[in-house]
Amino acid sequence: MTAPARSSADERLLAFRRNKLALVGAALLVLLVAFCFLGPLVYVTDQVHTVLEAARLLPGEQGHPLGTDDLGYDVLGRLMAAGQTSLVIGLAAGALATVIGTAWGAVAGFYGGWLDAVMMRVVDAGIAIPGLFLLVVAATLVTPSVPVLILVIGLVSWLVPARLMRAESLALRSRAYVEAMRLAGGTGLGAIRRHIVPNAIGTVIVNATFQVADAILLVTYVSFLGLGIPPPAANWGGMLSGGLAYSYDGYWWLIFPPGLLIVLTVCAFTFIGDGLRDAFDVRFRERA
Amino acid sequence: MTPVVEFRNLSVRFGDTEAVSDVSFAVEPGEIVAIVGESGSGKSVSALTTLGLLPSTAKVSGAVSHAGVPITSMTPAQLRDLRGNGIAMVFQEPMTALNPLLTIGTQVAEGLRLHRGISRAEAAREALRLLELVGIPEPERRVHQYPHELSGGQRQRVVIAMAVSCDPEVIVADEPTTALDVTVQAEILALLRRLRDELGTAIVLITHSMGVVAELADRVIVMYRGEVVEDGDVFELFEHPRHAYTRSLLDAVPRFTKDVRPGPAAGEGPAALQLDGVVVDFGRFRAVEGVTLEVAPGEILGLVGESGSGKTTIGRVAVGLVRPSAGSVRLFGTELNGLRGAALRTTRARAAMVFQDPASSLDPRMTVGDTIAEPMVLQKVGDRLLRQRRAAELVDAVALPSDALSRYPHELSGGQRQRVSIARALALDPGLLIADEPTSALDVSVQATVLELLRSLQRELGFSCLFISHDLAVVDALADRVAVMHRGAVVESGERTAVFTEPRDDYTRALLAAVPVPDPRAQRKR
Repeated sequence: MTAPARSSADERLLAFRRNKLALVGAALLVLLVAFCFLGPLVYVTDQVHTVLEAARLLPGEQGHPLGTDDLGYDVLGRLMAAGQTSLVIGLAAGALATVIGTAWGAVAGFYGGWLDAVMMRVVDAGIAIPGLFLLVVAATLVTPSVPVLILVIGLVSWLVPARLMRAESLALRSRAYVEAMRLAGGTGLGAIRRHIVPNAIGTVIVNATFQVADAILLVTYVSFLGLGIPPPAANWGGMLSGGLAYSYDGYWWLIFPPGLLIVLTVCAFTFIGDGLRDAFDVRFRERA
Repeated sequence: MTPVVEFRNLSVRFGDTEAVSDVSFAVEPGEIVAIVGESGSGKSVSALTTLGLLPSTAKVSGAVSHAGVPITSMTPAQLRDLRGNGIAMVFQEPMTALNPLLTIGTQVAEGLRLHRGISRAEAAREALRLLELVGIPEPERRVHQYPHELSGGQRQRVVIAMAVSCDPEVIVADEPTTALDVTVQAEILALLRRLRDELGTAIVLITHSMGVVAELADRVIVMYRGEVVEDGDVFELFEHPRHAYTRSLLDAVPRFTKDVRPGPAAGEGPAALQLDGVVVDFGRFRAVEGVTLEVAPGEILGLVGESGSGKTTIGRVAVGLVRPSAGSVRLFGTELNGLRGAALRTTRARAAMVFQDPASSLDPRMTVGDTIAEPMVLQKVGDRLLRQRRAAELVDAVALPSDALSRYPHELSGGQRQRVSIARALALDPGLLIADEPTSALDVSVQATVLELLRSLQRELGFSCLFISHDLAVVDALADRVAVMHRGAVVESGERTAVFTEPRDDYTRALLAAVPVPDPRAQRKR
């Protein structure tokens, strides 16, 4: 038992690194996280108290590199604070959607029959209702906060991963190793836990990155519609919608910076997803 | 006479691996040359070179020429003209070689119109003639049918009709009968021989089966690790193989023996497996029709049949993976029908299964050690240390090196994976082992060692075994008793020697007659 187990992890890393766009995505994400979470330690600003006499300052004026908004918040500092909210909601909601969807799809696909039919009709029904509509309804019923947004976004976006996982589960359940495990006295849920989900992990992880990107966009939409987390908390979508009111006044620094960061974040996650897809494909390329 | 195809010092490299090295041989007009070798020997790569079908990653040196013109330096237009007109190809899997959305008449006519530039009506007439030539019954009706409406053998006939449609000088046939049943295989081989005799087409036959070689070839080229190790006349080669590899290849081929082996030690207790009037329906299709059979303690029962005979379904019924619509299934005296949940799980854990496909029988994300220990984990046998010790014992019992425990399936060869699969099956010390075609995906030399392993383990541990296979010679090498299945029913069963030497049923006789024997003289007499 001395020989090192040469897992395929190294090969996967190699494949990921071969995808230049994925490397760009990973680098972008590191920079964005550093900007949002470490930035405030270096560049301290007050994002709670309004300073109306310092409102709408041009970039560079009075020591505000990106100026201030209509309430006198420093835009650069606000981008950092807002980014924290956007990233946290995006990651948590994406993770929640992935977990729910994976479990749901795995069970439906593995057991099949009427259970599958019922579970997947639930998914079909869910997909028929626009997620944004549910979010808007939820926002009118309860005051949006970070946990509420995570929960709501997670609950509207698990449908796609559920479908993906069901397809994987259907294919994997008839593999001989699953049957061998059941013959040795394994239960269905045991098979899902031990064999089905681990072998579908590539698909799940790749999809999870897209889920995160989608969740960040959803937060943006909702906040843009004014139904996001109320001030003084901030997120990029909210900044965008606040800035839009002044677009005819030429206050570009209220619109472009948050817009650019949203685009960069979504691109970063999408690129990483692409790279991961390449990385996991290597494993499925069967050796002759 | 110019050879129709000539290889001169051909080498093909993929990255750092040399798939084919320094291969030289020629195919004369009207000659059937078989290229034999195991997987990875370079036989298919050599064949693809003749059609210029190698992927762009391949680095080719040396030359392959067709009627004196080098193929390796042809332009795409010249290559298109060569394919079909000069050299045609027959692939292994007829279902994927045909377009499922077009009728077979259209598909045969398509090549004709492309290469000969004849009118639609002429092409249709010609297609009809070709289908008749390859022995498709009722060609007038068949031309309007789609591939899925034909049997596997008929599909392969259509593919062959397409191959001969433009009167090529050479047909390259890559494992043309590997996906077919043995009785159908015999018919297709006879067809290829007849086409050669009637049309004078040379055939390059790529195969791993010495039986097929003996049946069809005039000359044999044996390839091993990319090199030609022997090249000679078929009779000469089978009787006096010169190279050690050829000899080991011939030795590994399972043959019918008339020898009497000692019977199984009579075990006590109820039958390991007893099926009584088992019927299985899949929707409206009846897969198994009233099968009754018994596996006595300590006995190996060989269950033989062609694809679709229901033999695999019987194996799955035996462990409750498929529920019969009627009849009773008893595992060591316990009726499986009606058992659910924990009771079913404990009962079926007394049986274990070895599957056909080494690629899907092991979880790619689990180490060999974890895979073998899994049944013990599920049955809560012992603690971690004890399970590890047992896994090490089992790895040793199936003759794998002990460092295999920490390896992943993709690091193992097909034969090694089947050994792991056997070790896993033996982990709980089962009373009954069900082996469903455990060696049919393996090379012949590997198959021989796995069969030997199964036999010695069975002698040592004394488990009963239901051995399911389409390969009569393999069953002959292993089984004590034999049951023959045909269209969902057992048509004949009895002692191995009785069934194989004095078959009573017509189907058993047809099956036995169709088995390719690795002896060209015996084969030609048929």
